[in-house]
Amino acid sequence: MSLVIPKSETGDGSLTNDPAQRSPLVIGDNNFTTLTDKISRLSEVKPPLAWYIAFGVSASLATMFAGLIGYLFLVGVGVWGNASPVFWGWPIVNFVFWVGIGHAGTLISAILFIFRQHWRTSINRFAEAMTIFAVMCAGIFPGIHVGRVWVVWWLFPLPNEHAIWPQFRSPLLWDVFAVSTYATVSVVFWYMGMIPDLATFRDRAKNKIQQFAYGLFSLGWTGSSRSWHRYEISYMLLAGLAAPLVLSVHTIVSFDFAVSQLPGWHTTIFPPYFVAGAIFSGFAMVITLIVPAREWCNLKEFVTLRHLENINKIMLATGSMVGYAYIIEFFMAWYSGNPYEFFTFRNRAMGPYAWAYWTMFLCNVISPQLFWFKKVRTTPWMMFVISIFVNIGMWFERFVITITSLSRDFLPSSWNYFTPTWVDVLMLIGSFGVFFTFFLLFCRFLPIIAMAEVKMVMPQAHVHAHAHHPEASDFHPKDELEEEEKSEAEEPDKEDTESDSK
Amino acid sequence: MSESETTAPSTDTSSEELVYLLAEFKKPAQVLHAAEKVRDAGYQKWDVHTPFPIHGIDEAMGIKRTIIPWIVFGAAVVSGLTAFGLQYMTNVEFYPFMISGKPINSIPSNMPVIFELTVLGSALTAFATMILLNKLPRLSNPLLRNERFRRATADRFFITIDAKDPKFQAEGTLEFLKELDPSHIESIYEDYSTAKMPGFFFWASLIAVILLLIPPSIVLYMRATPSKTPKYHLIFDMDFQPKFKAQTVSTLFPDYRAMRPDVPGTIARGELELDDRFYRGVEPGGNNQVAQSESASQGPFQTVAFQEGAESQEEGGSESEESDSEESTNESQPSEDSSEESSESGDAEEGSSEEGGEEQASAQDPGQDVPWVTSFPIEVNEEVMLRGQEKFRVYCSVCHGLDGYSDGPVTHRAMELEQGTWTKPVSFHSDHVMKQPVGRLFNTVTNGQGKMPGYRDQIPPEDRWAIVLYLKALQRAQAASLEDVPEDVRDTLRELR
Repeated sequence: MSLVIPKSETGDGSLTNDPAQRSPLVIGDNNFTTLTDKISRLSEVKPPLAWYIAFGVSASLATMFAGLIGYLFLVGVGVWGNASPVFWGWPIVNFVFWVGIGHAGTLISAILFIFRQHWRTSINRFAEAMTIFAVMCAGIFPGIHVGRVWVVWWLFPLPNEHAIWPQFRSPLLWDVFAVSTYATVSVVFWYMGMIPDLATFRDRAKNKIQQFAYGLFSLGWTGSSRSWHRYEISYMLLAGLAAPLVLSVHTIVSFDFAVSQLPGWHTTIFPPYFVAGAIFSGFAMVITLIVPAREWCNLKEFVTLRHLENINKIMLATGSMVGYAYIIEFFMAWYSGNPYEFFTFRNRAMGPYAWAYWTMFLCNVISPQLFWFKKVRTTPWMMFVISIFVNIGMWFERFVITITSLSRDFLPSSWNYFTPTWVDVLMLIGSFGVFFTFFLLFCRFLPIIAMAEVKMVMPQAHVHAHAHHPEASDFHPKDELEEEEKSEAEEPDKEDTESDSK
Repeated sequence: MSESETTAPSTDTSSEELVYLLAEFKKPAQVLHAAEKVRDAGYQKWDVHTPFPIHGIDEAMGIKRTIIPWIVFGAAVVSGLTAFGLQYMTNVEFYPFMISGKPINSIPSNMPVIFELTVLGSALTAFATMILLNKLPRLSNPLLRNERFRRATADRFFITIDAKDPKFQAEGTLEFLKELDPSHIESIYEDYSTAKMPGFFFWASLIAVILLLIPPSIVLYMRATPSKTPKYHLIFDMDFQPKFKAQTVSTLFPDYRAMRPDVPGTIARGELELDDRFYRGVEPGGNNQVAQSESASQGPFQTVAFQEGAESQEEGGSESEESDSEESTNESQPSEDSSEESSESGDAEEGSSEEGGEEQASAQDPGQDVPWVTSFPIEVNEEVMLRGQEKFRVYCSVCHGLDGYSDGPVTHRAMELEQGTWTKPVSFHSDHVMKQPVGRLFNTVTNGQGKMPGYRDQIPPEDRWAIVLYLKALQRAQAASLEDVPEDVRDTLRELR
C-alpha cells in the first residue's frame, strides 16, 4: 500500500467529528497509477446499458427541443403563453434558472481555488462541465425569446446598414455581455484545466481516432515543468478573473429586474440575493448529478462523503441566505410604506400565485435546513432528495419573481393570470434533454475528474526535502502537510516495488 | 541506479538525429533532487516532465517567474479602455439618443460592460499567452512517440536534456544522467525520414481550397450579373405588409381612397395658427364680412380648440362673439376659401380690365371689405427685406420679373408663344396693386390670385411676409424721385442717366 491513511476512524473515508482530523481527499488503496487507471477507464471501456438508455432519452428530448424551436420560429412567439401583461413568461424564467445553475461550476473552480479549498479538485471538472451546459441552455432562451431571431446579432455592437448601435445604458445589453463573457471564460477555464488530462487520455489511447482527437485537443502537452509553471500562473490568473465574474453574472441578471420600476423587482437586495440563489441552485444541481455519478462510475474513492458534506454545508449557508432574502423582502415592502410594493408581496404570498410562492418557500427555505443534521448531510439518498427539492424550488423562485410581478402591473384593467402552453412545458423539459445529452457525452468521452489536480493533493505528491520556500506552497494546505508528516514517518519504500510489479 | 536498464545510444543513421536524453524517475522527490543537480551542472536546455506540477520544482530547476501576469495586466487595461471606447463611440458619437432620462454619456451605466470585457480580454490573453509561451500546440514531438514517455502524463517523472544544449556531450551527459540514479535512461531520436507530408494531404488541401472558393465566386457572380427577377426574400421582415399605402385605391371606403381626409372640424397638432395677423394678414374680428359669409357656406364647423380655446378667448377678448367663433373655428380653411372666392371674382374683373382700366376694378373687389392688416406683424429691417428679396427671386421673379413689371422669363415665353390661356400677371406698380394693404398682398402670396397658385405650402409665413416687405420696397423704389436719394449720390445717378 502506497498511501498510508492516518490510523483513525476516518481510514475508511467515513467522517469524524474531530475537527483537527479531516478525512483524506482520496481514500482507498490508490496511487498515481491506480488513479489514472480508474478515471481513464471510464471513457475507455464500453459504458453500461444505463448510459445508453439515459442518452437515448436525453437525446430524444433534445431533438424535441430543437423541433419546438423550429416550430417557434415558423409560427412566432405566440406559441408560448406570453401574453399581456406577462411578456417575459417561462422563457425568461428558464433562462434565469439555468444561468443560476451555471454558477456552481466556476464558483468551485475559481473561488474555492483562490481560497485553497483542496476538496474542490475532485468535483471541479464535473461542476465546470455542468456550468457550461447549463449556460448553453440558458443562452438559448433569451436568444429565441427576442421574436425575430434572424436579427439576434443586433444584440452585439456590429456595424450594420441601419447605422444603429446597441444601447449600452440598458441592463438587458449588460446581460448579453455578462452571459457571453461568462460562457466564454468558463469554456476557456474548463478546457485549460482539461489539457493535461486530455494528454493522459492521448497517451493511453488505443485506436487512431482517439489518438487523433485527444492528441489534437491536448495540443501536444508533455507535462514539461516549464509549461506547468506558466500553466499554474495562468490558471491562477483565470481563477482570479473568474471569481468576480461569477458574482457579476447573476448580479447583472438581477439588474434586468432591479433596474426596472416594477414593484417586486425594483429592490437593491436583488444582486446579493440572486447570487446566493444561484450558488444555492448550482450546488443543488451538483449534488443531483454527482450522487448518482459516483455510484455508477465508481468514483466513491475520489468523491468522498467529505466532498458531499462540504457541498451540503454550502447549500445550507446559501439556502439560509436565500431564506433571509425572502423574509427581508417582505419586511422592506411593509417598512418602506410603499403601497404598491406591499401589495405585490401580499399578492405573492396570498394572491393567485400563492401556491407557487409557498412551493418555493418550502423547497428553498425549509428543506435545506435539514442539513443541520449530520445524518442528512452525509447520507447520499437524503441529500439527493433535498437537492431535487431545491432545484424545483429555485425554478419556482424565478417563476414567482417574474410572473407575479408582471401579472399585476400598474394598470388593474390589464391584470391577467399567466397560463403556460404545451410548448412552454415541453421546452423546459427539452432544455433538460439538451443539458443531459451534453453531460452524458462529457461523462463518456472526457476526463470527469481532474486527474492532474487530484494527484497534486495526494500524499505521494509531497516532496519534503524542499520545505525551504514556504511562500510558494500554493498547493499545500496546512492540514495536509500535517497529515503528510504523519504518513511520512510510516511510509515505507513500497511504492517502487508495487508499481514495478504492475 | 545500478539495476536500471540503459538503452545504449544506437549509432546514428543518416535520417535519425539524437534530440534528447531521457531519464525516468519513479517518485517526485527523486526527480526533484535530480533536477537540482542538473541545474547545478549548468545545463540550459533541459526540462522535467511530470504528470502534475511538483511543488518546488521551479526553484529546483531555476525557472524564472513568467511574465504572463504583466501581459494579462496590459490586456486588462487595453480591454477596459476598449470597452469604454466602444460604448462612448457608439452611444455618444455614432448613434446618440435619449432613453429613460439617462445622460448620453453615462459612465455608471457603462461599468458592467467595461468589467465584463476587461475580464474577457484578460482571460483570453491569460490562456493564449500560456499556450504560446509554452510553444503549443506542438502536435509532432519526438518525445510523444516514445512508448515509455507516455507515462509522463500518468505516473512517471522524466528529465530530458536537449542535444542542442551548449554543455551537451553524447557520452558525458549520459554518464552525468546515470549518476542521478534514474530508473531508466533512453535516447530520443528524431526520424526525419518520416517528416514528409503524406501524398493525400496535398490533394485533400487542394480540394478543400477549391470548395472554399465556391461560395465567394457565387457571391461575386451574383453581384456582377443583373437579374430581372426580384431578390429572393428568405425572411420577409416587414417588407410586405397587408396595409394601404398613400395614393392607392381601397374598396374599404365609398370614395375608394386609401388616404383619408381630415375629420371635419379637426385641426392637426401645431397647426392651430390662431394669430390672424400673422397667418392670414387680416385684423382679428372687425367687419370680416367676406370671410364670414364664405365660412357659413362651408357647412357646420365645430369649435374644437381644446386647451387653446382659452387662449383664443383672451386674444380676441374685445371682439364680437360671432367673429370670435369664426376665427377659432375655421383656422386656415375660411381665409383660403375667401381668397379663392375673391380670386374668382377678381379674376373675372381682371379679365375685363386686363388691358387698361385696373382702377375701376376695385369697385366690385370683394377683398376691399376685408380688414387687411396695414402694418407688418413681423419685425421690419434690412435683413428681413434681403431675405424677402432672395425668396422673391426664387419664387416670384420667374413670372413677375425681377423688378415686378410682369416681364419674367415665363411671361416672356408665354407671350411669344401667344398662349391663349395665359393671363399676364399684374404689374406691381399699377395703382391697383400699389394701393393694396400688406395683408392683402400677403393673402395673395399665401392663397394665390387668378392663375397664380398659392405658396402656402412652399414658403413659411415669415418668409411670405419677408416677400411682401421686399415687394413694398420694390414699389417704393420704382416710384421714387431723385429727391429720395441721398444728396451725395445724386450726381452719380444723373451721370448714369
